Amino acid sequence: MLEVTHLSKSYTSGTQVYSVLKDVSLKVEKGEFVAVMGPSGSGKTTLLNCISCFIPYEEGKILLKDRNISHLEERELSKVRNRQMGFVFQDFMLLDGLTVFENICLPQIIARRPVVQMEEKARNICRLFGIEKIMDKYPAEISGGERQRTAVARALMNQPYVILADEPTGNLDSKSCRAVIDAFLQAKEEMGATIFMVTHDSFAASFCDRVIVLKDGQVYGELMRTGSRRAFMDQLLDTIRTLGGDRDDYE
Amino acid sequence: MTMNKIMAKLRRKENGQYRLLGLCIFLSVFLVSSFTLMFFSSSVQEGLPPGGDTRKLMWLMLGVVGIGCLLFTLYGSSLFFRNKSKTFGVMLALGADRKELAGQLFWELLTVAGTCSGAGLLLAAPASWLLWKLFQGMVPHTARTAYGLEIAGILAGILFAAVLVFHILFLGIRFIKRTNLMDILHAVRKTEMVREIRPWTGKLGIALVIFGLFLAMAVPQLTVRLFRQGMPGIWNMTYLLCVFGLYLLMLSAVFNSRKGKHPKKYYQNIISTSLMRFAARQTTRNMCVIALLVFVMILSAFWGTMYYFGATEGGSTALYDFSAHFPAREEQMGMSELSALAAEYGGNIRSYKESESLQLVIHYTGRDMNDQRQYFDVEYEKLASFVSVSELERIMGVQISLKEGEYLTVTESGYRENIWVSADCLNVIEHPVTGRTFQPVFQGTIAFDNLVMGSNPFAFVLSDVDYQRFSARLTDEFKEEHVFFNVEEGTDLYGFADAWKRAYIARATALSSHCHLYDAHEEALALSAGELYGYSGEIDLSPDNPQLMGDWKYAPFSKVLMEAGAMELTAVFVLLSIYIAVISLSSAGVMSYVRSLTIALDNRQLFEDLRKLGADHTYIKRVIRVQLRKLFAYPVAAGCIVTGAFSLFLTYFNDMVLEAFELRMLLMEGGLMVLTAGVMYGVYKGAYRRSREIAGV
Repeated sequence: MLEVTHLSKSYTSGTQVYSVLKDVSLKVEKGEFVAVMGPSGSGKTTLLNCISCFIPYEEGKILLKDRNISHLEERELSKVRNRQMGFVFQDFMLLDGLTVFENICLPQIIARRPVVQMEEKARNICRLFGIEKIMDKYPAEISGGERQRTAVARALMNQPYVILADEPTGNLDSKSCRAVIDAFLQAKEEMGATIFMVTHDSFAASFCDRVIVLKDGQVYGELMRTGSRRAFMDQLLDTIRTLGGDRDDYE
Repeated sequence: MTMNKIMAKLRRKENGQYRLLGLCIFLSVFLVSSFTLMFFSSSVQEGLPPGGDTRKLMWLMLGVVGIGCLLFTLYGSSLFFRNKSKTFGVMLALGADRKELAGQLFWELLTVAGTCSGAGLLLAAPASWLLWKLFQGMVPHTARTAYGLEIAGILAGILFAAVLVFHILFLGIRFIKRTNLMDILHAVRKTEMVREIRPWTGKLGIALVIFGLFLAMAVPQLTVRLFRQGMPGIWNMTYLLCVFGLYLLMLSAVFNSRKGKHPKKYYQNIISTSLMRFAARQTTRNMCVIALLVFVMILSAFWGTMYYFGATEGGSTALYDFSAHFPAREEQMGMSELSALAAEYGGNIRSYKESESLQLVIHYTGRDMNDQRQYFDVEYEKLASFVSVSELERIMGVQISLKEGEYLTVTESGYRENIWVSADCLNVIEHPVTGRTFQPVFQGTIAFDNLVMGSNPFAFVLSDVDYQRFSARLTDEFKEEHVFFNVEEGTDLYGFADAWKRAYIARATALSSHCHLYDAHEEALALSAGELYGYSGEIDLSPDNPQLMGDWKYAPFSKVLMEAGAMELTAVFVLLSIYIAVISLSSAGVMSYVRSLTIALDNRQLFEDLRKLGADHTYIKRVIRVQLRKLFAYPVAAGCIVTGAFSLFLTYFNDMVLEAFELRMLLMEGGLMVLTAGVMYGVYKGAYRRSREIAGV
């Protein structure tokens, strides 16, 4: 569904060039729930932004359902973002002036889909995510978890090939975090969604099918969930420790 | 539910932003248009002297008005785009077409800018009419203050509105063209860092401001006085030192915070200080512009008032309320005719005196300036008025001691030496008919405004013996008649003065029809040398010629008309100056308000974090208040101090003396500073309230 090949990205500051991503290649299959983890500065968010075509990159290809989206024109890219990608941001990025329902409808409004079907679909999704009671509320009137579930619902409105989530649980308490993860799992199970999530939260990542670990801009390794979620979480924590997370600075 | 409906709903929800943008556009078009309507009206244009500094200053003010208004509107629009960025970022991320969004934004901006500009233009006419009525109240006795819309004023307003709309659309296009979507999404959180600054930066800033002002204002005057050398135009660049000093001062205010002797205060303000540091460059730039606007505001109001007092000062101390000088061969009104005229206006003539003066050729030393701005002595030769000491004693009613071979220079009241000519300039007197010369000895000055008005550079007094000697064989061609009188209280002074002026003009013949700087001797010299004489030719001797009293060699003097004329001229200037002040103050207010809101928006996340750290509302309010206080207090204080120093330097170094009325003016400027601080305090209160709302405390 999503394929990244030999992706490289660097930032320039004065005369210094910092390589953030170095020849990164990965694949995400249809219906897979994949997380990207890694220490701070490993390039997780940059990778997501490159895949979303939010930022340019120097080398590499990004294929979405076998179509290269690397060098699309603005108009084409907009269509891809609207119909083939769904986004979930850390700070929700809901429009404060629109109700939950209207926010969820937004991708279809942009795509100019027929109103009746759009509203029906939005209501169904709200029901699915248990947010039908807050449909008419504004973002400022609902909790963080509800906001993020609204964001997930919005991302699913156009049935995209892939949902790209940037630290979706970053701003949430544990209860809300679980609710959002459940929303992703529900999307995967009931709508066959493919989810690509950047996170530093081992708990959230432990619900994924697979975790790609980045270090210093390169793919350090991949972990497949084979057993229980708890065992997978232990495995993730071990990996993070190996990456330097358990080092005592005063030793 | 369609895109249009969604956009309309978002507009409704975000109507505060549209209101602010609309208000900025309306206010700026309204202020500029009403200013241009007034500025280009025939009454103001006729009221302003042709050429000269006043007109240049007015054009400069027009420029300041335009730039000030443009600045605060663009600043208001930047907040609008800043708030819009999230909406547009989300829309783009969800796949909205950039061109479609650009189209939406374009029409929104065009609608807001078009409607508000139109409203501003429409309301500008009645507003300028109302102000004109106010102005007429200030200048009661003149026919040329009729209000009339001039096409130039309307066009200038429309042009400004077009430029403004174009700029806003340009900013809109720039906003939408930002290709990096991440920047748009995170625009509200973008901050910048400045390099660490030294602890002495603030002190250096103050020193540079003072040194810059001294270099720019004192040095040119001192070099002229000491070395007779003016400074070149490029010397004005030294003002930039002040601007740089101001920048350093503001930077230091934003950036510097040391524990010093008050560690408690330091820790209390640590969050506010560190927050300001993160956007130090933006904030400093902003504060500098606000300080400069405060400077323009106070200075324009101050200059307006100073100009008014300056204009009414000349002639107000004249010994006689009415006087005139005219060629001896002219037949002007005598005592009986004047008495009859005064009777028509319910009064009598008092202290009536007639006198005669000789027009003798003087050779005197004056000064001129070359292209290198060096002052050099020049020997001039022209006609000047001479009276005998006994005549002057009779007219002035004082005892004057003057011996044969000596002379006194007649000056205006409060005369002070200037670079161009000194009171002892007279070298030789020459009889214009016989050519006989005489070198009198300077014995000092005597002030008599009514006499010196008709003779340039001065009038002179000779002993009776010398006077008689020069009077012999002098034809009437070289004699002038003088009349001096007062009118008793209770007379319709203005009516009488106007009637006398008209009668005087009606009796004037071609003998008197010369412009102010005309001199028959200079003309003769020029013609004999085969050169053109610039002041030849007759002038329009019509009472309705608005320039006549300023341009006519034999213009009659009356205090009441002089005061009315000065009032008319200065009222225009004062009115326009007050306009500049209002515009500058509006700009400073809007910019400070917008900046405050920007700070609150930037720090919204941090306020949340502080809450998580246990900060209560009182603490967060303090964090906001400290930042806003700095933002408002420092530029206002700096603007006031710089203006005070500028005005002091200007008034003192002009003639190295501070007169009582100049001190009064400086005190009045202090009052203006208090007023400015008061208005800005009001804006601060509003900005603080809104910032608290944004922060949710």
